[in-house]
Amino acid sequence: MAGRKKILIVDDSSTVRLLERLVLDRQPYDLIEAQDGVEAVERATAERPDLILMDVLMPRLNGFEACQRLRHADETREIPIIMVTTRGELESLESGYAAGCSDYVTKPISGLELLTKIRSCLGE
Amino acid sequence: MSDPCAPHPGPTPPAGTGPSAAACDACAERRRLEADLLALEEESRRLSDDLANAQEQVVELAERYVALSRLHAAPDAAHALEVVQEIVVNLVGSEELVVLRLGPDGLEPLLAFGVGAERLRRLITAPGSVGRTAASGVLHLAGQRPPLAGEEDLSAAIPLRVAGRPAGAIAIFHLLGHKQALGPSDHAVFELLTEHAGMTLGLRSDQAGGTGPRP
Repeated sequence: MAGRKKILIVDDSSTVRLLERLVLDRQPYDLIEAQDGVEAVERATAERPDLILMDVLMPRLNGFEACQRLRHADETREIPIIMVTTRGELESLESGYAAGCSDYVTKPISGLELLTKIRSCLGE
Repeated sequence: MSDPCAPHPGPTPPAGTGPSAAACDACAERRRLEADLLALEEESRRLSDDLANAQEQVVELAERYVALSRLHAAPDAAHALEVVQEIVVNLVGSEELVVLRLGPDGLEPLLAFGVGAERLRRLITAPGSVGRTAASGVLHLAGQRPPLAGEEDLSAAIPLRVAGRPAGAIAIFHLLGHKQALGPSDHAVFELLTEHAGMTLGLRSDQAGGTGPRP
């Protein structure tokens, strides 16, 4: 549907992907998924989402590394990226911002916080 | 803007020297509009709060649906253990948990995540509240009573039941740093784990055990 924003959900946990999908289900977004950083870079490059929700700890390529790769590619450098992280990973949040993430939310996910930050990043 | 009709201190002005009738009407209309505006602002705040509450309720219901569907979609006990871990980490907010079954010789660990060997050994040799939960099938929450010695790190012990009978427990230790306390939505997830995780983990209520321990 024209005008609908596309969001890429990246997490190796199918539990988290399902939860984020349910939280965003009634919102005017088209949702696509990736299970790790490598797949995230591939899908983001191919489908140019309007925003990416990126887990940090993932196999093959973690969220920070994926973020860096996306920021170095012309096709994806402008896409807002929200890191989805646990407190322990917050210690390295500075690395996340250095890698180019736009914002972050913490697990367990607060639906209101997630929606607020998504809307803010999308300029809604 | 000043209001010529607003009450003011001092004696009432002599007749014929006060504001005109038209000015009085305009001021009254303005006060009415201001009151309407305040009421609308209040209504807007109330609706915003209602929307926020509704959105949080959607998330709570989504969490329950996710927990239930993932547990029942697990093809075997090993996957069910992974699902339990994901639920505790991502929905409850703890990266320290142990899943135990009631075996013939007491509690046997099926999964330990984020918990050191020494803490696990103490849990097995002196199960305390976790052992009572596993045997009784009654949820234990930190803060309900003063913690037993050595259990200061225990946040909750969730009973696992099969066919309504005790079959094991999930011990949850420290919560994530930004998670201040367990709340009603966590309790709802605990109830689901109690009634559904034991069966999907392949536990048996005869205390003879079902699934082999994981390394």
